[in-house]
Amino acid sequence: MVELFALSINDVATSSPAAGAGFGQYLLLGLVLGSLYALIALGYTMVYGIIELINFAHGDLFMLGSFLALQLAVWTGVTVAADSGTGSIILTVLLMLVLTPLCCAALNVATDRVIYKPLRNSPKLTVIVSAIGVSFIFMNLGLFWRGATQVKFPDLIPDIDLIGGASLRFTLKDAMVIGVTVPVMLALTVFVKFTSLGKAMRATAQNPTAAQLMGINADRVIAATFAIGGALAGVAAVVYGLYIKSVEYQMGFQNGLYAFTAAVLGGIGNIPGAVLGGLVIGVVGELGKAYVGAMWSEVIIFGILIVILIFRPTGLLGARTREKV
Amino acid sequence: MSTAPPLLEVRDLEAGYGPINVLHKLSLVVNQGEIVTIIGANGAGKTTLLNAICGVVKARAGEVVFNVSPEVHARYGSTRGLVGSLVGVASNLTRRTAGVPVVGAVTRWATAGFVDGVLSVFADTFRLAASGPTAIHEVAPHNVVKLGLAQSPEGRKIFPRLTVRENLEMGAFTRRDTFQVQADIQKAYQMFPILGKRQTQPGGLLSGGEQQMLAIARALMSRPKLLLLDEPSLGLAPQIVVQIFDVIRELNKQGMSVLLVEQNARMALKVAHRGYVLETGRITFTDKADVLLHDPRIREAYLGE
Repeated sequence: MVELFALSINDVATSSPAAGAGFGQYLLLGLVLGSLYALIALGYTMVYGIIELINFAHGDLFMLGSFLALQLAVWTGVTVAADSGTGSIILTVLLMLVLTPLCCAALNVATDRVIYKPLRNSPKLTVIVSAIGVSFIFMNLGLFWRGATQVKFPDLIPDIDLIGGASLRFTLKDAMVIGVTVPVMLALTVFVKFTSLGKAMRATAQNPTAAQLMGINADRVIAATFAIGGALAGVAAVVYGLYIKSVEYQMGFQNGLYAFTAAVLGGIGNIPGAVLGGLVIGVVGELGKAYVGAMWSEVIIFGILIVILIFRPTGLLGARTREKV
Repeated sequence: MSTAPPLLEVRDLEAGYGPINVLHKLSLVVNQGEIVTIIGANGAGKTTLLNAICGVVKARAGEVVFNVSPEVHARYGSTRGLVGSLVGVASNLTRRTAGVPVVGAVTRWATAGFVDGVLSVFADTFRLAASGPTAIHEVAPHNVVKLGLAQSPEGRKIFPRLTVRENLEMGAFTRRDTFQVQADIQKAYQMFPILGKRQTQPGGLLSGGEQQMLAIARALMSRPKLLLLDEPSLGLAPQIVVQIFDVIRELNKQGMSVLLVEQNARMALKVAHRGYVLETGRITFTDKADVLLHDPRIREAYLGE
């Protein structure tokens, strides 16, 4: 387990800015990674909000998504940026950004239908243990698919510096992450706040019995929640692969743990909280790595989590203790 | 008595939780245009009865029959479009393969999982065979409200972090006539002006009386034929209770049928046409409300005299 963490830190370090970079650079990297954690955290928090399940398989769904994106690049033949035209690179990235979320959404909904739904009225622990089981199934699928070593993800987005300042490098990759994650999160906010299904999701999370009396089909809302959570994980998987340029079958565990921590930090079940938690963990992790030392970064993250949960047990934005009937 | 079929008829209903039966062969009738009240002590089974009618608690035996109006049937009667035909094909297949061991089970799974689950994300798959008396204990709980039956539940159960307006919109969740829904929200604000003043506040910040008003207004948003009210006076100041009962009377004057469950037997019997007395899951008395109001046994047991 310790090795695993060390490995993943090195992964991220490979994309870290060069030595001598300033505070702004680390902050930027933190925000970029944080918005990826936020996308994954949204899947944890939305599912928890509706059926009070910590979906431990969510991180591994993210991993399978990145493998699928990689496979799509293999199929289109666009694996080395230098050998491909700009047009085919753009098409491949778009294909990844459309198909991966769709497949992740379908897989997530199917998992719910086949595994969690028959257990809907079982004790919570039963469902959580089966989610851990699904996590292992997904992880081993990944192992079977791509083996135990790290796999290079096609480096399709060039590292062109967009602002050309001496103190801060803001590359096309950074712009890609922000350009994908921010609109996705805005779209989710609009969906949940203003659409009929979005309101039904919030209503079901707040009082499932009353929601049923309103004519809201809980199965429909739950399926939509799993679909949205899965799609967000799929988007995060594509962006992660393109940004970090390396994937492996255990990445779902580690990133899922960060994202889950982000969801708890922000207040599990709370959508803005998951985004805030993701950004906080990304920034704190990177700044900790830069100024305290890479080996301390996780100590700082989880230390902060513990301190926050002692003083605010419901998380930063959480106020959701559903009344028990 | 009129010859028209009753709006709601409960026949020999049994329901409960786990090993315990709460309702024992319970029967009652609500006619069109009536206010019927069910009075009884704590734990008599009043809430269980309303929840069994709405399908939230599953009936174990007996029947709940609701007289579906032709307009409701018109809305859900036809199978339209691709979704409708897929539902038709799937349910047909399920019927035909019912006896076949493995195929039948797989078809059932596919119908329940795929057709109802996946398709319902995109469209309403609920279909009604006919108007007139319909067995609602066989209808999925979330579809009961579509038949024209809405409940303002015990403890109000408003959505605490949705605004007052969003709570009302949830009450109209099954409706697609957006403009009419907006007009009905304005009507609700006329009926309860305080809700209009608080329309952008989260429901959880309202006082108890305001929450009760919101719960009733929210139930009315589905334009029900029958309104089920569970303890609307619970925990409210006397003048608020009077206000709420005035609203119930007014709704009834406009043609709404009401099934009112109450512990405040005096208020309930004053507003109702007929009453049932529920004791440990059985109906022990039933009569016209003013007869019950003057019955010495009722006066002693429920009116504190």
